[in-house]
Amino acid sequence: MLKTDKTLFNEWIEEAQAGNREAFSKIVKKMMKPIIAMTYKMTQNIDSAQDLAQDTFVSVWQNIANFRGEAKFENWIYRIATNKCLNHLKKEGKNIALDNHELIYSTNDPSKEILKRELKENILTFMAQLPQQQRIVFELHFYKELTFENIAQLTGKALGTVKTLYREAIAKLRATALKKGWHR
Amino acid sequence: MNCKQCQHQLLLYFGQKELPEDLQEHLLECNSCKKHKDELDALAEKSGSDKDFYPDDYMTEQMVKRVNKAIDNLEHSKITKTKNIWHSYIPAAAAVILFVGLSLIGYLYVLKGNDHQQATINNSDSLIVQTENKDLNTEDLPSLLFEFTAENQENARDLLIDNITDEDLKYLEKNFDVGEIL
Repeated sequence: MLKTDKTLFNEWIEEAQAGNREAFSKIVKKMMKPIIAMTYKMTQNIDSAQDLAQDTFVSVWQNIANFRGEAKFENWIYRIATNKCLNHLKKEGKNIALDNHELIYSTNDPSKEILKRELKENILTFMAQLPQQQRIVFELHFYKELTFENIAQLTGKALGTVKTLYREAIAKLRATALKKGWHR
Repeated sequence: MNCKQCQHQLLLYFGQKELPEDLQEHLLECNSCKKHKDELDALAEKSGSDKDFYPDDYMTEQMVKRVNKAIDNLEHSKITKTKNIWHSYIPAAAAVILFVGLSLIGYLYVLKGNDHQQATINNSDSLIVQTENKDLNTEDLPSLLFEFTAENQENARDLLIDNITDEDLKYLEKNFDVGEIL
């Protein structure tokens, strides 16, 4: 019988907890894309995004033995990445400059490439305007599809605060879209 | 539910397909709110998904290698650190072992000396006890004293003098030739 992705992933976690580097490497490979996508949206800089992704996985390796499974493993990694991003943003200051580097997308279709580039630019422009906490909540709920309850647990904020932060972020997104005509 | 409440709630459900029943009911009756919802849906669609921001396979592969290398360096520095700790502790450990060893030898030496002294004290004590009890037979005293070995005679004499009371001395002087005994 074939093992499901989830079972396989749980096996890798257990093996990595026992110190198996090969199993950990598989986890890194599986989680690298969503983590870089997150760190890039948060920092708007590909070098910082890569550094933060690396730091995140090194921390995951250092602390994986302490992971007790109270939260989903992916959420636990997101929490580490979120903290890394917030610390980085605190160090760098509130203002983030849009990076000239581009993420390399998988598609070779030029028309899709243009659309994606446009989409990416719009979202990054919008996210750059958001305060850090709103940016985190928007990223975790809209892109990572975490529930508000999970985000509250992960960020240590009250559920009501998390919902308010999300509402404020979406209101700003709507205002920005109306202003720039993205919604059409 | 009024329009203000509905539009306030819709922000919370941005990007989600399933809405609570009360929201759905209001949207069925209110065109203005329905328009607001369609606008948000279009925006959510244009915001893409997380996958739109994924790096390509090459970059991912490079990053996996980078992470592995970083962990290798970390583990290596940990081992080196442990080795360095041992290097700095070895001389200290040797000094402690030497000190403990010498202390132990000294202690055993002192312990042996005490045993020897204790034996002398025991002998002299028995003599004193007998003299105090006045049970001492005058004929027994020289033989008792001869039981002292030649080695501990000198110590015994000192100890006997140290431990003897004035009353004992007077008794001994009265009944024995103390000078000859000592």
